[in-house]
Amino acid sequence: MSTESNEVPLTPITATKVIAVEGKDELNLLSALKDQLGIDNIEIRSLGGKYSFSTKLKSLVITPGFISVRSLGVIRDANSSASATFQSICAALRNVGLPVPTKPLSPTKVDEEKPQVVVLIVPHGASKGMLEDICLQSVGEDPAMSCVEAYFECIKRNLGKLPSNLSKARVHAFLSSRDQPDLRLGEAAQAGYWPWTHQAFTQVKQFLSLL
Amino acid sequence: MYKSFRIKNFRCFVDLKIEPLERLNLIAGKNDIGKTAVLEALWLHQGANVPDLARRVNTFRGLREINMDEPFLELFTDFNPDLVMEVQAHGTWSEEPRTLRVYRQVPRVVEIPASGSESLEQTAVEKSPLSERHSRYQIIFEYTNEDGKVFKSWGWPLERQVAPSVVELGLLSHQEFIGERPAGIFLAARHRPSGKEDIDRFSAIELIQKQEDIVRILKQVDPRVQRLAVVVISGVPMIHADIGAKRLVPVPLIGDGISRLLSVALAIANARDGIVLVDEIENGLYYGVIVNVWKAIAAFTRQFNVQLFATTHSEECIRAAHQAFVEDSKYDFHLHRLERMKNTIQAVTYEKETLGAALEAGLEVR
Repeated sequence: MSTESNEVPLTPITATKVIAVEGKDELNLLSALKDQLGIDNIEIRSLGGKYSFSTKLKSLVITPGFISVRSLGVIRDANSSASATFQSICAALRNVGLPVPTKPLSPTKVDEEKPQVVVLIVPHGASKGMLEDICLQSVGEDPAMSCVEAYFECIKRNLGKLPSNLSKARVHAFLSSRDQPDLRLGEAAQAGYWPWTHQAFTQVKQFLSLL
Repeated sequence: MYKSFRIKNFRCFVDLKIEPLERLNLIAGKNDIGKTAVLEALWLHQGANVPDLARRVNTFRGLREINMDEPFLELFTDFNPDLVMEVQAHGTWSEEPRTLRVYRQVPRVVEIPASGSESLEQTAVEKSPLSERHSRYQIIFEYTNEDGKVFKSWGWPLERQVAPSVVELGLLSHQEFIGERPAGIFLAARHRPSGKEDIDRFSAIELIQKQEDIVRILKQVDPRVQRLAVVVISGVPMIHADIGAKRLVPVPLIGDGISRLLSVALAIANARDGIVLVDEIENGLYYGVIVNVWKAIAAFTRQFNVQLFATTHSEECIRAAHQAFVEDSKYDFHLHRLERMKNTIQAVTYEKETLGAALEAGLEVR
Protein backbone atom coordinates (compact mmCIF):
# COMPACT_ATOMS: atom_id res chain seq x y z
CA MET A 1 0.00 0.00 0.00
CA SER A 2 1.09 3.55 -0.42
CA THR A 3 1.75 4.61 3.12
CA GLU A 4 0.88 8.26 3.51
CA SER A 5 3.26 10.16 5.71
CA ASN A 6 0.40 11.93 7.51
CA GLU A 7 -1.24 8.71 8.68
CA VAL A 8 -1.98 8.87 12.38
CA PRO A 9 -1.17 5.59 14.16
CA LEU A 10 -4.29 3.88 15.47
CA THR A 11 -4.60 3.97 19.24
CA PRO A 12 -7.41 2.92 21.57
CA ILE A 13 -8.95 5.18 24.19
CA THR A 14 -7.30 4.65 27.55
CA ALA A 15 -8.67 7.43 29.78
CA THR A 16 -12.08 7.77 31.38
CA LYS A 17 -12.26 11.46 30.44
CA VAL A 18 -12.04 12.37 26.77
CA ILE A 19 -12.18 15.64 24.88
CA ALA A 20 -13.01 15.68 21.19
CA VAL A 21 -11.44 18.59 19.34
CA GLU A 22 -11.44 19.71 15.73
CA GLY A 23 -7.78 19.72 14.86
CA LYS A 24 -4.17 19.67 15.89
CA ASP A 25 -4.10 23.32 17.04
CA GLU A 26 -6.95 22.70 19.48
CA LEU A 27 -5.32 19.48 20.62
CA ASN A 28 -1.97 21.14 21.28
CA LEU A 29 -3.51 24.15 23.01
CA LEU A 30 -5.72 22.11 25.33
CA SER A 31 -2.88 19.70 26.05
CA ALA A 32 -0.64 22.59 27.04
CA LEU A 33 -3.35 24.13 29.21
CA LYS A 34 -4.19 20.91 31.01
CA ASP A 35 -0.48 20.33 31.64
CA GLN A 36 -0.25 23.83 33.04
CA LEU A 37 -3.17 23.04 35.34
CA GLY A 38 -1.66 19.71 36.39
CA ILE A 39 -4.50 17.66 34.93
CA ASP A 40 -3.27 14.31 33.69
CA ASN A 41 -6.32 12.07 33.41
CA ILE A 42 -7.89 13.58 30.31
CA GLU A 43 -7.30 12.20 26.83
CA ILE A 44 -7.69 14.64 23.94
CA ARG A 45 -8.55 13.24 20.53
CA SER A 46 -8.39 15.29 17.36
CA LEU A 47 -11.29 14.54 15.05
CA GLY A 48 -10.26 16.88 12.28
CA GLY A 49 -10.47 15.98 8.62
CA LYS A 50 -12.87 15.68 5.76
CA TYR A 51 -15.68 13.76 7.46
CA SER A 52 -18.68 15.35 9.15
CA PHE A 53 -18.57 15.82 12.92
CA SER A 54 -21.46 13.40 13.23
CA THR A 55 -19.52 10.67 11.44
CA LYS A 56 -16.38 11.35 13.44
CA LEU A 57 -18.33 11.21 16.69
CA LYS A 58 -19.80 7.87 15.64
CA SER A 59 -16.29 6.56 14.99
CA LEU A 60 -15.15 7.84 18.37
CA VAL A 61 -17.89 6.13 20.38
CA ILE A 62 -17.16 2.75 18.80
CA THR A 63 -13.42 3.02 19.42
CA PRO A 64 -12.03 0.34 21.74
CA GLY A 65 -11.95 1.74 25.25
CA PHE A 66 -14.76 4.26 24.81
CA ILE A 67 -17.02 2.00 26.83
CA SER A 68 -15.02 3.03 29.93
CA VAL A 69 -15.32 6.76 29.26
CA ARG A 70 -17.30 8.50 32.02
CA SER A 71 -17.00 12.08 30.79
CA LEU A 72 -16.87 13.43 27.25
CA GLY A 73 -16.06 17.00 26.36
CA VAL A 74 -16.65 18.55 22.96
CA ILE A 75 -15.06 21.86 22.03
CA ARG A 76 -15.83 23.59 18.75
CA ASP A 77 -15.40 26.97 17.15
CA ALA A 78 -18.58 29.03 16.98
CA ASN A 79 -17.62 30.10 13.45
CA SER A 80 -20.46 32.15 11.95
CA SER A 81 -23.11 31.02 14.46
CA ALA A 82 -22.57 29.75 17.99
CA SER A 83 -26.16 28.55 18.31
CA ALA A 84 -26.10 26.68 14.99
CA THR A 85 -22.82 25.01 15.97
CA PHE A 86 -24.25 23.98 19.34
CA GLN A 87 -27.39 22.58 17.72
CA SER A 88 -25.25 20.67 15.23
CA ILE A 89 -23.25 19.09 18.06
CA CYS A 90 -26.45 18.21 19.92
CA ALA A 91 -27.82 16.50 16.81
CA ALA A 92 -24.60 14.50 16.44
CA LEU A 93 -24.69 13.47 20.12
CA ARG A 94 -28.33 12.43 19.78
CA ASN A 95 -27.48 10.46 16.65
CA VAL A 96 -25.00 8.25 18.51
CA GLY A 97 -27.18 7.88 21.60
CA LEU A 98 -25.17 10.12 23.90
CA PRO A 99 -26.75 12.52 26.42
CA VAL A 100 -27.48 15.98 25.03
CA PRO A 101 -26.74 19.08 27.12
CA THR A 102 -29.19 21.97 27.25
CA LYS A 103 -26.55 24.64 26.76
CA PRO A 104 -22.77 25.08 26.53
CA LEU A 105 -20.77 24.55 29.71
CA SER A 106 -23.71 22.75 31.26
CA PRO A 107 -22.84 19.08 31.85
CA THR A 108 -25.49 16.44 31.33
CA LYS A 109 -26.66 14.43 34.33
CA VAL A 110 -24.47 11.61 35.55
CA ASP A 111 -25.68 8.33 34.12
CA GLU A 112 -24.23 4.92 35.00
CA GLU A 113 -24.68 3.65 31.47
CA LYS A 114 -23.50 6.65 29.46
CA PRO A 115 -20.81 9.27 29.85
CA GLN A 116 -21.57 12.76 31.04
CA VAL A 117 -21.25 15.25 28.17
CA VAL A 118 -19.99 18.85 28.31
CA VAL A 119 -19.88 21.15 25.29
CA LEU A 120 -17.91 24.37 24.92
CA ILE A 121 -18.41 26.69 21.98
CA VAL A 122 -15.57 29.18 21.66
CA PRO A 123 -15.47 32.03 22.28
CA HIS A 124 -17.97 31.29 25.06
CA GLY A 125 -20.87 33.72 25.11
CA ALA A 126 -20.12 35.22 21.70
CA SER A 127 -22.42 34.70 18.74
CA LYS A 128 -19.54 33.90 16.43
CA GLY A 129 -15.78 33.49 16.41
CA MET A 130 -13.12 30.89 16.99
CA LEU A 131 -10.34 29.73 19.27
CA GLU A 132 -7.99 32.25 17.69
CA ASP A 133 -10.15 35.07 19.10
CA ILE A 134 -9.57 33.83 22.65
CA CYS A 135 -5.83 33.71 22.10
CA LEU A 136 -5.82 37.19 20.58
CA GLN A 137 -7.85 38.48 23.51
CA SER A 138 -5.30 37.03 25.92
CA VAL A 139 -2.46 38.99 24.30
CA GLY A 140 -4.46 42.19 23.75
CA GLU A 141 -2.14 44.11 26.06
CA ASP A 142 1.02 42.74 24.51
CA PRO A 143 3.08 45.57 22.92
CA ALA A 144 3.34 43.58 19.69
CA MET A 145 -0.42 43.79 19.17
CA SER A 146 -0.30 47.49 18.26
CA CYS A 147 2.18 46.52 15.53
CA VAL A 148 -0.22 43.77 14.39
CA GLU A 149 -3.10 46.25 14.16
CA ALA A 150 -0.92 48.73 12.29
CA TYR A 151 0.15 45.98 9.90
CA PHE A 152 -3.41 45.11 8.94
CA GLU A 153 -4.36 48.78 8.60
CA CYS A 154 -1.49 49.07 6.15
CA ILE A 155 -2.60 45.93 4.30
CA LYS A 156 -6.13 47.26 3.99
CA ARG A 157 -4.90 50.60 2.79
CA ASN A 158 -2.48 49.24 0.20
CA LEU A 159 -4.38 46.11 -0.96
CA GLY A 160 -7.89 47.42 -0.52
CA LYS A 161 -8.98 44.35 1.40
CA LEU A 162 -8.19 42.19 4.41
CA PRO A 163 -7.65 38.41 4.64
CA SER A 164 -10.95 36.52 4.69
CA ASN A 165 -10.13 34.95 8.07
CA LEU A 166 -8.76 37.95 9.91
CA SER A 167 -8.52 36.17 13.28
CA LYS A 168 -6.17 33.51 11.87
CA ALA A 169 -4.17 36.17 10.06
CA ARG A 170 -3.79 38.25 13.21
CA VAL A 171 -2.64 35.20 15.18
CA HIS A 172 -0.01 34.46 12.53
CA ALA A 173 1.12 38.08 12.54
CA PHE A 174 1.35 38.14 16.32
CA LEU A 175 3.24 34.85 16.51
CA SER A 176 5.73 36.06 13.90
CA SER A 177 6.85 38.57 16.52
CA ARG A 178 8.02 35.86 18.92
CA ASP A 179 11.47 34.27 19.32
CA GLN A 180 10.26 31.28 17.34
CA PRO A 181 8.38 33.10 14.59
CA ASP A 182 7.00 30.14 12.66
CA LEU A 183 4.79 28.38 15.21
CA ARG A 184 1.15 27.54 14.75
CA LEU A 185 -1.43 28.41 17.39
CA GLY A 186 -1.20 25.06 19.17
CA GLU A 187 2.57 24.94 19.00
CA ALA A 188 2.67 28.44 20.42
CA ALA A 189 0.63 27.15 23.36
CA GLN A 190 3.21 24.44 23.92
CA ALA A 191 5.94 27.10 23.76
CA GLY A 192 4.18 29.17 26.43
CA TYR A 193 3.25 32.14 24.23
CA TRP A 194 -0.35 32.39 25.45
CA PRO A 195 -0.78 33.75 29.01
CA TRP A 196 -2.95 31.09 30.69
CA THR A 197 -3.71 33.37 33.63
CA HIS A 198 -5.61 35.80 31.41
CA GLN A 199 -9.37 35.82 31.87
CA ALA A 200 -9.81 34.95 28.18
CA PHE A 201 -9.08 31.34 29.14
CA THR A 202 -11.47 31.24 32.12
CA GLN A 203 -14.21 29.30 30.31
CA VAL A 204 -11.75 26.84 28.78
CA LYS A 205 -10.39 26.12 32.26
CA GLN A 206 -13.95 25.78 33.54
CA PHE A 207 -14.66 23.34 30.71
CA LEU A 208 -11.68 21.21 31.76
CA SER A 209 -12.76 21.27 35.37
CA LEU A 210 -16.30 20.15 34.52
CA LEU A 211 -15.12 16.87 32.99
CA MET B 1 -25.33 -13.88 0.18
CA TYR B 2 -25.44 -13.56 3.94
CA LYS B 3 -26.91 -10.27 5.20
CA SER B 4 -26.53 -10.97 8.91
CA PHE B 5 -25.97 -13.82 11.29
CA ARG B 6 -26.31 -14.60 14.97
CA ILE B 7 -24.22 -17.14 16.85
CA LYS B 8 -25.30 -18.58 20.19
CA ASN B 9 -23.48 -20.88 22.59
CA PHE B 10 -20.56 -21.57 20.29
CA ARG B 11 -16.95 -21.54 21.53
CA CYS B 12 -16.50 -18.20 23.35
CA PHE B 13 -19.79 -16.68 22.19
CA VAL B 14 -22.92 -16.50 24.29
CA ASP B 15 -24.91 -14.46 21.79
CA LEU B 16 -23.12 -12.64 19.01
CA LYS B 17 -24.83 -10.83 16.17
CA ILE B 18 -23.02 -9.36 13.19
CA GLU B 19 -24.83 -7.09 10.78
CA PRO B 20 -24.98 -5.72 8.20
CA LEU B 21 -22.70 -7.86 6.11
CA GLU B 22 -21.14 -6.95 2.79
CA ARG B 23 -19.60 -8.95 0.00
CA LEU B 24 -16.21 -8.60 1.70
CA ASN B 25 -16.03 -8.66 5.47
CA LEU B 26 -12.92 -8.24 7.56
CA ILE B 27 -13.12 -9.40 11.15
CA ALA B 28 -10.74 -7.79 13.63
CA GLY B 29 -10.28 -7.84 17.38
CA LYS B 30 -7.82 -8.67 20.11
CA ASN B 31 -6.27 -12.08 20.57
CA ASP B 32 -8.60 -14.79 21.86
CA ILE B 33 -11.73 -12.77 21.14
CA GLY B 34 -13.20 -15.33 18.71
CA LYS B 35 -12.31 -14.11 15.23
CA THR B 36 -11.60 -17.61 13.98
CA ALA B 37 -14.68 -18.92 15.75
CA VAL B 38 -16.83 -16.59 13.65
CA LEU B 39 -15.44 -18.18 10.50
CA GLU B 40 -15.99 -21.64 11.96
CA ALA B 41 -19.60 -20.88 12.81
CA LEU B 42 -20.26 -19.64 9.28
CA TRP B 43 -18.59 -22.70 7.84
CA LEU B 44 -20.78 -25.00 9.94
CA HIS B 45 -23.84 -23.06 8.83
CA GLN B 46 -22.89 -23.30 5.18
CA GLY B 47 -22.33 -27.05 5.56
CA ALA B 48 -25.39 -27.52 7.71
CA ASN B 49 -25.77 -31.21 6.89
CA VAL B 50 -22.12 -32.19 7.26
CA PRO B 51 -21.48 -33.20 10.88
CA ASP B 52 -17.88 -33.98 10.02
CA LEU B 53 -17.27 -30.23 9.94
CA ALA B 54 -17.58 -30.31 13.73
CA ARG B 55 -14.52 -32.54 13.77
CA ARG B 56 -12.68 -30.55 11.11
CA VAL B 57 -12.99 -27.17 12.83
CA ASN B 58 -11.28 -28.77 15.80
CA THR B 59 -8.63 -30.32 13.56
CA PHE B 60 -7.79 -26.88 12.17
CA ARG B 61 -7.23 -25.81 15.76
CA GLY B 62 -4.80 -28.65 16.32
CA LEU B 63 -7.29 -30.80 18.24
CA ARG B 64 -6.78 -33.91 16.19
CA GLU B 65 -8.35 -36.51 18.43
CA ILE B 66 -12.00 -36.91 19.25
CA ASN B 67 -12.62 -37.44 22.95
CA MET B 68 -14.73 -40.58 22.82
CA ASP B 69 -16.12 -40.08 26.32
CA GLU B 70 -17.03 -36.40 25.94
CA PRO B 71 -16.92 -35.60 22.23
CA PHE B 72 -17.21 -32.06 20.85
CA LEU B 73 -17.33 -30.29 24.22
CA GLU B 74 -15.09 -27.63 22.67
CA LEU B 75 -17.90 -26.47 20.43
CA PHE B 76 -20.10 -25.27 23.27
CA THR B 77 -19.70 -22.17 25.39
CA ASP B 78 -17.98 -22.98 28.69
CA PHE B 79 -17.66 -26.59 27.45
CA ASN B 80 -21.25 -27.06 28.52
CA PRO B 81 -22.69 -29.99 26.55
CA ASP B 82 -26.21 -29.18 27.71
CA LEU B 83 -26.24 -26.07 25.54
CA VAL B 84 -27.49 -25.95 22.00
CA MET B 85 -25.23 -24.14 19.63
CA GLU B 86 -27.13 -22.08 17.09
CA VAL B 87 -26.24 -20.12 13.99
CA GLN B 88 -29.13 -18.21 12.48
CA ALA B 89 -28.54 -16.30 9.29
CA HIS B 90 -30.53 -13.95 7.12
CA GLY B 91 -29.56 -13.56 3.52
CA THR B 92 -30.58 -12.68 0.03
CA TRP B 93 -32.30 -16.08 -0.33
CA SER B 94 -35.49 -15.01 1.46
CA GLU B 95 -36.88 -12.85 4.23
CA GLU B 96 -36.83 -15.90 6.46
CA PRO B 97 -33.67 -17.15 8.19
CA ARG B 98 -31.76 -20.37 7.80
CA THR B 99 -30.90 -21.84 11.17
CA LEU B 100 -28.43 -24.51 12.21
CA ARG B 101 -28.70 -25.98 15.69
CA VAL B 102 -25.96 -28.27 16.89
CA TYR B 103 -26.23 -30.38 20.00
CA ARG B 104 -25.16 -33.66 21.54
CA GLN B 105 -27.58 -36.48 21.99
CA VAL B 106 -27.54 -40.01 23.30
CA PRO B 107 -29.01 -42.09 20.46
CA ARG B 108 -32.32 -43.57 21.46
CA VAL B 109 -31.96 -46.50 19.11
CA VAL B 110 -28.55 -47.73 18.17
CA GLU B 111 -28.54 -47.96 14.40
CA ILE B 112 -25.54 -49.43 12.69
CA PRO B 113 -26.03 -48.26 9.14
CA ALA B 114 -25.69 -50.68 6.27
CA SER B 115 -22.34 -50.55 4.57
CA GLY B 116 -22.29 -48.58 1.31
CA SER B 117 -25.37 -46.51 2.02
CA GLU B 118 -25.14 -43.30 0.02
CA SER B 119 -26.29 -41.21 2.93
CA LEU B 120 -23.42 -42.30 5.08
CA GLU B 121 -19.92 -41.04 5.22
CA GLN B 122 -17.29 -42.69 7.28
CA THR B 123 -14.07 -40.88 7.96
CA ALA B 124 -12.35 -43.77 9.67
CA VAL B 125 -10.24 -45.94 7.45
CA GLU B 126 -12.16 -48.82 5.98
CA LYS B 127 -10.47 -51.91 7.35
CA SER B 128 -11.75 -54.89 9.17
CA PRO B 129 -11.32 -53.80 12.76
CA LEU B 130 -10.15 -56.00 15.58
CA SER B 131 -12.66 -54.16 17.71
CA GLU B 132 -14.71 -50.99 17.57
CA ARG B 133 -16.82 -48.88 19.85
CA HIS B 134 -19.09 -45.88 19.44
CA SER B 135 -19.16 -42.86 21.66
CA ARG B 136 -22.15 -42.58 23.92
CA TYR B 137 -23.03 -39.34 22.15
CA GLN B 138 -23.94 -38.32 18.67
CA ILE B 139 -23.49 -34.79 17.39
CA ILE B 140 -26.70 -33.59 15.77
CA PHE B 141 -26.87 -30.98 13.01
CA GLU B 142 -30.47 -29.80 12.95
CA TYR B 143 -31.02 -27.45 10.05
CA THR B 144 -34.15 -25.41 9.46
CA ASN B 145 -34.38 -23.88 6.02
CA GLU B 146 -36.13 -20.68 5.03
CA ASP B 147 -39.39 -22.57 4.45
CA GLY B 148 -39.36 -23.89 8.00
CA LYS B 149 -38.49 -27.43 6.96
CA VAL B 150 -36.24 -29.27 9.43
CA PHE B 151 -33.42 -31.64 8.43
CA LYS B 152 -31.42 -33.72 10.91
CA SER B 153 -27.97 -35.03 10.17
CA TRP B 154 -25.77 -36.73 12.69
CA GLY B 155 -22.23 -37.78 13.36
CA TRP B 156 -21.20 -40.56 15.68
CA PRO B 157 -17.62 -40.86 16.91
CA LEU B 158 -16.22 -44.29 16.23
CA GLU B 159 -13.04 -45.84 17.61
CA ARG B 160 -11.57 -48.78 15.79
CA GLN B 161 -8.63 -50.91 16.70
CA VAL B 162 -7.28 -51.94 13.30
CA ALA B 163 -4.07 -53.54 14.55
CA PRO B 164 -2.86 -54.58 18.00
CA SER B 165 -1.28 -51.18 18.59
CA VAL B 166 -3.19 -49.04 16.09
CA VAL B 167 -6.41 -47.26 17.05
CA GLU B 168 -8.19 -45.02 14.57
CA LEU B 169 -10.81 -42.45 15.35
CA GLY B 170 -13.44 -41.35 12.91
CA LEU B 171 -16.94 -40.08 12.57
CA LEU B 172 -19.70 -42.22 11.23
CA SER B 173 -22.14 -39.76 9.79
CA HIS B 174 -25.49 -39.43 8.18
CA GLN B 175 -26.08 -36.46 5.92
CA GLU B 176 -29.64 -35.46 5.24
CA PHE B 177 -30.07 -33.90 1.81
CA ILE B 178 -30.91 -30.22 2.33
CA GLY B 179 -30.88 -29.12 -1.29
CA GLU B 180 -28.17 -27.75 -3.49
CA ARG B 181 -25.86 -25.53 -1.47
CA PRO B 182 -23.08 -23.38 -2.88
CA ALA B 183 -19.58 -24.09 -1.67
CA GLY B 184 -18.10 -22.88 1.57
CA ILE B 185 -14.31 -23.01 1.61
CA PHE B 186 -12.30 -22.45 4.78
CA LEU B 187 -8.63 -21.49 4.61
CA ALA B 188 -7.31 -21.84 8.13
CA ALA B 189 -4.34 -19.86 9.37
CA ARG B 190 -2.42 -22.80 10.78
CA HIS B 191 -3.67 -25.50 8.51
CA ARG B 192 -2.54 -24.44 5.05
CA PRO B 193 -4.54 -26.04 2.25
CA SER B 194 -2.79 -29.14 1.16
CA GLY B 195 -1.18 -29.27 -2.24
CA LYS B 196 -3.93 -31.68 -3.20
CA GLU B 197 -6.74 -29.25 -2.33
CA ASP B 198 -5.10 -26.47 -4.31
CA ILE B 199 -4.42 -28.84 -7.20
CA ASP B 200 -8.02 -30.03 -7.27
CA ARG B 201 -9.22 -26.45 -7.30
CA PHE B 202 -6.66 -25.43 -9.91
CA SER B 203 -7.68 -28.35 -12.11
CA ALA B 204 -11.31 -27.25 -11.91
CA ILE B 205 -10.27 -23.79 -13.09
CA GLU B 206 -8.12 -25.22 -15.88
CA LEU B 207 -11.10 -27.21 -17.13
CA ILE B 208 -13.07 -24.04 -17.73
CA GLN B 209 -9.97 -22.26 -19.07
CA LYS B 210 -9.91 -19.54 -16.46
CA GLN B 211 -6.27 -19.81 -15.49
CA GLU B 212 -5.58 -16.29 -16.71
CA ASP B 213 -7.92 -14.96 -13.98
CA ILE B 214 -5.80 -16.62 -11.31
CA VAL B 215 -2.56 -15.43 -12.91
CA ARG B 216 -3.89 -11.86 -13.01
CA ILE B 217 -4.32 -11.89 -9.24
CA LEU B 218 -0.92 -13.46 -8.61
CA LYS B 219 0.73 -10.73 -10.69
CA GLN B 220 -0.30 -8.26 -7.99
CA VAL B 221 2.24 -9.94 -5.73
CA ASP B 222 4.77 -11.08 -8.32
CA PRO B 223 4.50 -9.55 -11.80
CA ARG B 224 6.86 -12.23 -13.16
CA VAL B 225 4.15 -14.90 -13.01
CA GLN B 226 3.10 -15.77 -16.58
CA ARG B 227 1.50 -19.17 -16.35
CA LEU B 228 0.67 -21.95 -13.91
CA ALA B 229 0.94 -25.68 -14.43
CA VAL B 230 0.60 -28.84 -12.38
CA VAL B 231 3.87 -30.73 -12.57
CA VAL B 232 4.30 -34.26 -11.21
CA ILE B 233 7.72 -34.98 -9.79
CA SER B 234 8.43 -38.41 -8.31
CA GLY B 235 4.72 -39.08 -8.37
CA VAL B 236 3.88 -35.96 -6.38
CA PRO B 237 1.86 -33.29 -8.20
CA MET B 238 2.49 -29.69 -7.36
CA ILE B 239 1.46 -26.33 -8.83
CA HIS B 240 4.37 -24.63 -10.53
CA ALA B 241 4.65 -21.17 -12.05
CA ASP B 242 6.43 -19.80 -15.08
CA ILE B 243 8.22 -16.71 -13.77
CA GLY B 244 10.52 -16.28 -16.75
CA ALA B 245 13.19 -18.60 -15.42
CA LYS B 246 14.67 -21.50 -17.39
CA ARG B 247 12.32 -23.91 -15.66
CA LEU B 248 9.01 -23.79 -13.85
CA VAL B 249 9.20 -23.10 -10.12
CA PRO B 250 7.02 -24.67 -7.41
CA VAL B 251 4.74 -21.88 -6.15
CA PRO B 252 5.62 -22.40 -2.46
CA LEU B 253 9.25 -21.81 -3.37
CA ILE B 254 8.43 -18.38 -4.82
CA GLY B 255 7.14 -17.16 -1.49
CA ASP B 256 4.57 -17.37 1.30
CA GLY B 257 2.59 -14.40 0.01
CA ILE B 258 2.01 -15.74 -3.47
CA SER B 259 1.33 -19.19 -2.12
CA ARG B 260 -1.31 -17.82 0.23
CA LEU B 261 -2.84 -15.64 -2.47
CA LEU B 262 -2.99 -18.60 -4.85
CA SER B 263 -4.96 -20.55 -2.26
CA VAL B 264 -7.34 -17.61 -1.75
CA ALA B 265 -7.83 -17.07 -5.48
CA LEU B 266 -8.43 -20.76 -6.14
CA ALA B 267 -10.90 -20.90 -3.27
CA ILE B 268 -12.87 -17.94 -4.65
CA ALA B 269 -12.89 -19.35 -8.17
CA ASN B 270 -14.21 -22.67 -6.83
CA ALA B 271 -16.88 -21.25 -4.57
CA ARG B 272 -19.19 -19.64 -7.13
CA ASP B 273 -22.28 -18.19 -5.36
CA GLY B 274 -20.85 -19.39 -2.06
CA ILE B 275 -18.57 -18.18 0.70
CA VAL B 276 -14.83 -18.22 1.33
CA LEU B 277 -13.48 -17.95 4.85
CA VAL B 278 -9.86 -16.93 5.28
CA ASP B 279 -8.16 -16.86 8.67
CA GLU B 280 -5.43 -14.21 8.92
CA ILE B 281 -5.64 -13.12 5.31
CA GLU B 282 -2.60 -10.84 5.52
CA ASN B 283 -0.23 -13.76 6.21
CA GLY B 284 2.83 -13.52 4.02
CA LEU B 285 1.72 -10.45 2.07
CA TYR B 286 4.17 -7.56 1.76
CA TYR B 287 2.52 -4.32 2.87
CA GLY B 288 3.38 -2.59 -0.39
CA VAL B 289 1.12 -4.86 -2.44
CA ILE B 290 -1.90 -5.20 -0.17
CA VAL B 291 -4.00 -2.44 -1.77
CA ASN B 292 -3.69 -4.01 -5.19
CA VAL B 293 -4.32 -7.46 -3.76
CA TRP B 294 -7.55 -6.19 -2.22
CA LYS B 295 -8.61 -4.66 -5.53
CA ALA B 296 -7.93 -7.93 -7.31
CA ILE B 297 -9.79 -9.95 -4.67
CA ALA B 298 -12.74 -7.55 -4.85
CA ALA B 299 -12.99 -7.96 -8.61
CA PHE B 300 -12.62 -11.71 -8.30
CA THR B 301 -15.34 -12.14 -5.68
CA ARG B 302 -17.73 -10.12 -7.83
CA GLN B 303 -16.85 -12.19 -10.90
CA PHE B 304 -17.69 -15.43 -9.10
CA ASN B 305 -20.40 -13.97 -6.87
CA VAL B 306 -18.55 -15.06 -3.76
CA GLN B 307 -18.90 -13.56 -0.30
CA LEU B 308 -15.63 -13.40 1.59
CA PHE B 309 -15.03 -13.35 5.34
CA ALA B 310 -11.48 -12.89 6.57
CA THR B 311 -9.81 -12.21 9.87
CA THR B 312 -6.89 -9.90 10.41
CA HIS B 313 -4.70 -8.40 13.12
CA SER B 314 -3.08 -5.98 10.75
CA GLU B 315 -3.61 -2.21 10.69
CA GLU B 316 -1.95 -2.14 7.27
CA CYS B 317 -4.37 -4.73 5.96
CA ILE B 318 -7.39 -2.73 7.17
CA ARG B 319 -6.06 0.57 5.84
CA ALA B 320 -5.26 -1.09 2.53
CA ALA B 321 -8.71 -2.63 2.23
CA HIS B 322 -10.35 0.73 2.95
CA GLN B 323 -8.15 2.49 0.41
CA ALA B 324 -8.73 -0.20 -2.22
CA PHE B 325 -12.51 -0.01 -1.90
CA VAL B 326 -12.58 3.79 -1.77
CA GLU B 327 -10.68 3.80 -5.06
CA ASP B 328 -12.92 1.07 -6.47
CA SER B 329 -16.22 1.64 -8.23
CA LYS B 330 -18.09 0.05 -5.34
CA TYR B 331 -17.43 0.01 -1.60
CA ASP B 332 -18.83 -3.46 -0.87
CA PHE B 333 -16.69 -3.91 2.22
CA HIS B 334 -17.27 -3.77 5.98
CA LEU B 335 -14.99 -4.12 8.96
CA HIS B 336 -16.38 -5.91 12.00
CA ARG B 337 -14.53 -5.73 15.32
CA LEU B 338 -15.21 -8.20 18.08
CA GLU B 339 -15.06 -6.65 21.51
CA ARG B 340 -15.63 -7.88 25.03
CA MET B 341 -18.39 -5.86 26.69
CA LYS B 342 -19.63 -6.74 30.15
CA ASN B 343 -18.41 -10.34 29.95
CA THR B 344 -19.90 -11.03 26.56
CA ILE B 345 -18.41 -10.62 23.13
CA GLN B 346 -20.16 -8.27 20.78
CA ALA B 347 -19.47 -6.97 17.30
CA VAL B 348 -19.02 -3.39 16.16
CA THR B 349 -19.37 -2.76 12.45
CA TYR B 350 -17.60 -0.02 10.51
CA GLU B 351 -18.99 1.01 7.15
CA LYS B 352 -17.23 3.32 4.70
CA GLU B 353 -17.68 6.64 6.49
CA THR B 354 -17.03 5.54 10.06
CA LEU B 355 -13.98 3.52 9.05
CA GLY B 356 -12.61 6.38 6.98
CA ALA B 357 -13.12 8.85 9.82
CA ALA B 358 -11.53 6.50 12.36
CA LEU B 359 -8.48 5.80 10.22
CA GLU B 360 -8.04 9.50 9.51
CA ALA B 361 -8.26 10.44 13.19
CA GLY B 362 -6.04 7.61 14.44
CA LEU B 363 -8.88 5.93 16.33
CA GLU B 364 -8.15 2.25 16.88
CA VAL B 365 -10.47 -0.03 14.95
CA ARG B 366 -8.98 -3.44 15.76
